[in-house]
Amino acid sequence: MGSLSLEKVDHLLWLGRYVERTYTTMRFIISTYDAALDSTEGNWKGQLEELGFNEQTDDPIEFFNDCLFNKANTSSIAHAMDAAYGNAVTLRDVIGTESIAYVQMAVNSIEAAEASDAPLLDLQLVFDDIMAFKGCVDDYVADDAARNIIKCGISIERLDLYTRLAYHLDRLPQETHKLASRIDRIGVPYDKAHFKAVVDAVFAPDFPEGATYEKLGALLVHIAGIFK
Amino acid sequence: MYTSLVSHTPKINQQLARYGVKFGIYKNGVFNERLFPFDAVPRIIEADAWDELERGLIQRVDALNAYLKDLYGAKQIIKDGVVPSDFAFASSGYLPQCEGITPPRGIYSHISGIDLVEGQNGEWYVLEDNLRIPSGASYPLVARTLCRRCDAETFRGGPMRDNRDYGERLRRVMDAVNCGGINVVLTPGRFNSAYFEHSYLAEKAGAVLAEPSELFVENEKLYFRDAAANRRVGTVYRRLSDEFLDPLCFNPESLIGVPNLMSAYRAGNVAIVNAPGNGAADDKGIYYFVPKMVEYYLGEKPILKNAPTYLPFYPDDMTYVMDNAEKLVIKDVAEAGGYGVVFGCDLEPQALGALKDSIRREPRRFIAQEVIDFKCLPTYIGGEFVPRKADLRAFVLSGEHTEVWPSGLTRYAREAGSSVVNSSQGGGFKDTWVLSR
Repeated sequence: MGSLSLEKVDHLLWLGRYVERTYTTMRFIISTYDAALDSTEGNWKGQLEELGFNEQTDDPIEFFNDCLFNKANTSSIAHAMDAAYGNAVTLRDVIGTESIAYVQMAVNSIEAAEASDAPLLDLQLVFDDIMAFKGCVDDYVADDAARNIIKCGISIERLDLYTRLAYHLDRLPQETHKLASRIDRIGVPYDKAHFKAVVDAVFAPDFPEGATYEKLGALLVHIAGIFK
Repeated sequence: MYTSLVSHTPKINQQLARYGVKFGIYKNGVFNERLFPFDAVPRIIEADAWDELERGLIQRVDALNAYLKDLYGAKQIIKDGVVPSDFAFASSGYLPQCEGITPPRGIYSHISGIDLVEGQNGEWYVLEDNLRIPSGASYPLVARTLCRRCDAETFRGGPMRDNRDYGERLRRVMDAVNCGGINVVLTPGRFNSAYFEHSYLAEKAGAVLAEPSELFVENEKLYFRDAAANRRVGTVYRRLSDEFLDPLCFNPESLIGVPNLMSAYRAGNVAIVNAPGNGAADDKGIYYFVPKMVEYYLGEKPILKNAPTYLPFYPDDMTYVMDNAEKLVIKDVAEAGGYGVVFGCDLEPQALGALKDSIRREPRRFIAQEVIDFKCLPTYIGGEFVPRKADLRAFVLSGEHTEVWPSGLTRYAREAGSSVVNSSQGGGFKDTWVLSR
């Protein structure tokens, strides 16, 4: 590990989390928007309210604009990407200007999409920028620990969002194993046997049918404990 | 030489936005980041002119370093009456806490930013010395990389000297004074106006970017709080002001300092780049005496000229300033960043009278200078070349020896006729090409 203070470890982890939050939330918003086009029962907000989008409006355009671009709404993708940027710029000496540039571009692309006459189409650039950022981190960040802490953040955010939204539950076991492997590469000490027991309890043979929020929540709490 | 390059100006600015080349500004208490507009028409300095400028800059910075060493040590220049005692010690930048401390290698100003303008006669005049935490080297550094990328024709075999080694030069300076340990760039945090530069220079110099909470002092040694194991710091390139550096030594209310940093520095266990207390030599009032310092310490004739300057502190100069205020530029020595600079010709009679009253009341607070009619540079604005006033901040680095970075930050005024080039007041920047032949 190079020179990483606890503050920088925290920024790396949250950089990964906010980048992934932007990516997954944006995908979720866009798929909800698409479903809303065909909705006849008035439930076009779908599960977005569970993500904190409580805008009291009957106007779908206003609602989706709020989800995407309202920085004052801490659940919006504009807010999440700004938060990713806030963490990224403190890490220039660790992850490099080339990596940070993709985060900056994603912020710029969101601002450009907001002013566009086809915002959802232009948000494709944000997906591209985020994917490029992930690739750049993989390829460019020389510090193993730094790289894997960002990836841990990405995995944790996925586990969190997928659990809250019961979205892609089938991917949770794979994501958990990826996370465990990344934690090992960082070198953070933790009780591996206990972790395995928690994982095995969650991903029992009856998963995902037998999964409960309590079990999944216990897994997330356990992971949070490792990073404390 | 730069015609084809200029056509790429919008694309270069797009790339600067991509890389987040910004500066921060507080307006009505709210922090905003702004892009720093880049003009691709460079300032070009011929090889012969640069040689002269380089010699003058090295001479000036060597004299300023000698002055600081003397001021905080033997005070011979005061005893000899070259710089009046009450003048030297009345400077707000003079810090009695630094008395008797000799920094590693005796260097006080490691990174000096000297602001110059080129007069209509082709002569360079120094407007200001910045010996505390001069900003701006990162911008031409990024811009040159992008310019080279978009216009191979101009740069292939071109006579302009490469300026992209600033990070390496900075690292050499930090290494030269290192007291054992890692190099750290200390930033107050991401809401500082020059945060981009702090982080970029840390990356380019291979130093660790640290905020104050990541550093601590134990047994008079400075450490970086590494998650794995604390690491000793040998050089700290601090990018925060003296008064906030150490709350146990300077401003006790500072929340962004490192407690006991000064004790580690005093014990010779860490180099602080630039040294605390340098404000005593870059005060706008002390500027008047710099040519005298060159003669006093180096026994040489000053190569670079000051703008003709008057100190109302002296009765004769006060009389001159009172009689000619309407044609002088008046500067408040306590201000920076282009603030506190007033052109007498721009003031209504009542405002000019009020300013004169202030000068009479607090003569030490002001200097007055003849207005230098400095050269405009061609600038590409709105699809055409227009003349704009521009200055130059040259960077002089002092480590193993004193050297001048063959480039610099050229800032230009955005408005026609304006002489205010500061980024905080809307100015843009250019690359500075120093020709090798």
